[in-house]
Amino acid sequence: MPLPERCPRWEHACSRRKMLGMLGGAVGVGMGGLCGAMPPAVADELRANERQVLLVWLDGGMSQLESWDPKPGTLFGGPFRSIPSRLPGVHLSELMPQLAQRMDRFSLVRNMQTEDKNHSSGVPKILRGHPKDRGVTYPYMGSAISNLLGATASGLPPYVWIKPGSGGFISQHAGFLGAKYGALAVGDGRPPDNLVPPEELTPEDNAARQDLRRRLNARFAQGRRPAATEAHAQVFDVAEKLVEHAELFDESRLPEADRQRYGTHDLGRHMLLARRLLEAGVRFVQVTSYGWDTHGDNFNAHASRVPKVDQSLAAILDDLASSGLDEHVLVIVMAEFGRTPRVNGAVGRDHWPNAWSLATAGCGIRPGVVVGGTTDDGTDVAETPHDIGALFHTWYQALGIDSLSAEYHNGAQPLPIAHDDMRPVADLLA
Amino acid sequence: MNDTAGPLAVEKLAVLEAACQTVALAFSPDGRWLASADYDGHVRVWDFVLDTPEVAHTLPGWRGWVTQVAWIDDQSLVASDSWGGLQCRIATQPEAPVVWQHAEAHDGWIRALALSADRQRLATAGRDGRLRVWDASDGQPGKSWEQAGADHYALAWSPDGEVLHSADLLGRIASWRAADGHRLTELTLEGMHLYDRIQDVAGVRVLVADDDGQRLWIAGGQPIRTGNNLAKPTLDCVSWETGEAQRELTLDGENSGFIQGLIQHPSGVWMGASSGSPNNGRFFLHRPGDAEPFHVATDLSNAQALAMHPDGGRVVVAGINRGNQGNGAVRGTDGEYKANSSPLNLLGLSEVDPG
Repeated sequence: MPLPERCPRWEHACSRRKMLGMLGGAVGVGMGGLCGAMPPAVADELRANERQVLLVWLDGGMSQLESWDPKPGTLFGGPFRSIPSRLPGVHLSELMPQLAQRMDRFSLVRNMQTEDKNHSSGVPKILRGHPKDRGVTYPYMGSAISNLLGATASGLPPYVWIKPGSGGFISQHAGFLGAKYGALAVGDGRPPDNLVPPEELTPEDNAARQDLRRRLNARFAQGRRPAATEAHAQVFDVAEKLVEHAELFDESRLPEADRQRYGTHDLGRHMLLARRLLEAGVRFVQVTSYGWDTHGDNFNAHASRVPKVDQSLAAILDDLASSGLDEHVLVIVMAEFGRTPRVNGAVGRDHWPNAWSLATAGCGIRPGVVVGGTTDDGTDVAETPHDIGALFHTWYQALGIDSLSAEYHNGAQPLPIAHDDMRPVADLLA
Repeated sequence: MNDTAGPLAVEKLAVLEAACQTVALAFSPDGRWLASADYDGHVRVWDFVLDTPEVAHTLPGWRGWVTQVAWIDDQSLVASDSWGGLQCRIATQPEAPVVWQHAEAHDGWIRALALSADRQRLATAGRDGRLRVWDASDGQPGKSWEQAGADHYALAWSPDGEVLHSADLLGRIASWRAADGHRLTELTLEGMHLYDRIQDVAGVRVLVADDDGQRLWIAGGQPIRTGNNLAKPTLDCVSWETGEAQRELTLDGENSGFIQGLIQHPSGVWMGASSGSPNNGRFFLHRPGDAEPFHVATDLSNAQALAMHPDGGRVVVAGINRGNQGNGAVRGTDGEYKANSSPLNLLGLSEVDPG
């Protein structure tokens, strides 16, 4: 069924400078493409409060040596070359040529040192910012941001997780915040089932149906704990909102050139959807890529995988920059750890929390910075390491959240939002 | 170990400790020297005249990994590297003078190198999708051509040197007229490529042409899953008469990995070694036409390379040291974080009296 035409949100929200430029360029050629562009001052005002996050999660652990922190020609360096980036003296793996050309637009942290070398415990620790143990389950980053910043003015669900496989509403990510801060998981980039209402349902009938649903939910909630009933109602509200934006999931509307730029593989398709969701106003979008746990054939695996990260991440960085959203969207690319310098017998690399790298860009982040480094052979952090708690402080600060004083309230229990012994990485903050 | 009656018997003669992990092995034509292509950018030349072979010369000068090695004659070898370099050196002299070299023979990782039967021409291929032919004696470039979108894993010459066979990431087996790069045939082996979780996995790792030029043997594995890179080792055969591929052998165990080395013994028996997931893999002997190999060893895990002595009585399998894997900083008893190494397993082969 054809979906209604809608303007992407960025068309309503580009920077004052760019908007003026667009208006100038539009003289004599009409304004239709701008969807009735709003005055720049209004756009700026809107954007001031619309800080968003894109988290690219490379599940299993991408090798830092085949990506952000190459050590070519050393004992553990592997077969690949490094290439110079746009930043003098900074090299990336040859598998990242497009990102190397955009190195001035993002930053690297090469001295990550974290505690856990296992997936099952390491993933939640990293995604929760590994705060001090206070006997509660902290939220994953997406749930935390949902709670701290709420939905944007778009009203779209604040936490959308684009992942291969199945989707659903993942309440477990919310921890003590309560189920309503869970993730709306979009399996394989497909919209939730039955998102598009049947054609025979009129808007009036649909509105009446939603009203009835709300009244029934309210009656059901009476005398019950809000934590459970709010989440239940939230899922319906989310679904209702998504119906209004069903076109976001319609890949057939995308220009072929966009599809080719991002790549037709899962990661490319999912990153392109992430861009559309961010443009539409989703507060926090996580894109997960699985299969990075390369205990076997690590180098052929990275030769196949890393260029897909290079392609899709470069494309979204370009698009965020050209739409002006780079000033408002915080981008994070990481995993639960890196991979061992030592190459095992299956030509794989194992888990390595000891000295790994992540990349970050956008809102509040100083671009073109390389924080820390590793020893010449990549086996250790060269100087002071950073744990994930320090990065959570950094990202919260970048989003305008004072992580040193802000607290959650778990009932009567105040809880710091990030590890209270750690501080932001000042070099990363704009 | 799993043994049934076969034309060859195997015994382990020695395990030669090595300094580094090895990608490829090759004996000199006279059998005196064994060259190993190693992760540290060195070629190590082992003296096999000694009762207990040991490294005679360590040759630096390659970049990244040394990826393949072959002997041009009894003194000179040629080896490729993962940064696209190709060098011919007189390897039997300690200073190993360079005969010829190309720093950028390819753009990046050269995975495959094949010497023609008469040792006059060399072919190379790798990640850049280009196939190149070289004069082995002086390194002069010959014909080169590109297979669009290909990432090459293996090469083999026909016995007469007229045809070059290639295998790529997608399981495409192409045959090319070496004189001009004209593609003669191409077939895609079913099941020898996997796309899993944004990763392409190559099934074909080795090509060997029959001496009579009638068949091309294709070894590797049927990829099952990425991550630990699970695969079942396979050996296929293409008949030029019919143009069809037939499965000759599938080894059991999805942890057994890809056949990384395959050599035909003068008796006709195929010898192969598979990589395996960590601490798995197989060394096997297989008589063509049999339902199963008559010898399978599981104690030579994670083999990456195999070489047969020209006398046909010895074979060397590059394995891996114990304790080669582990998450986090697994350290030795001395507290050091060490690289792994590929001990060379020297096996004796003897023909079995059928009576």
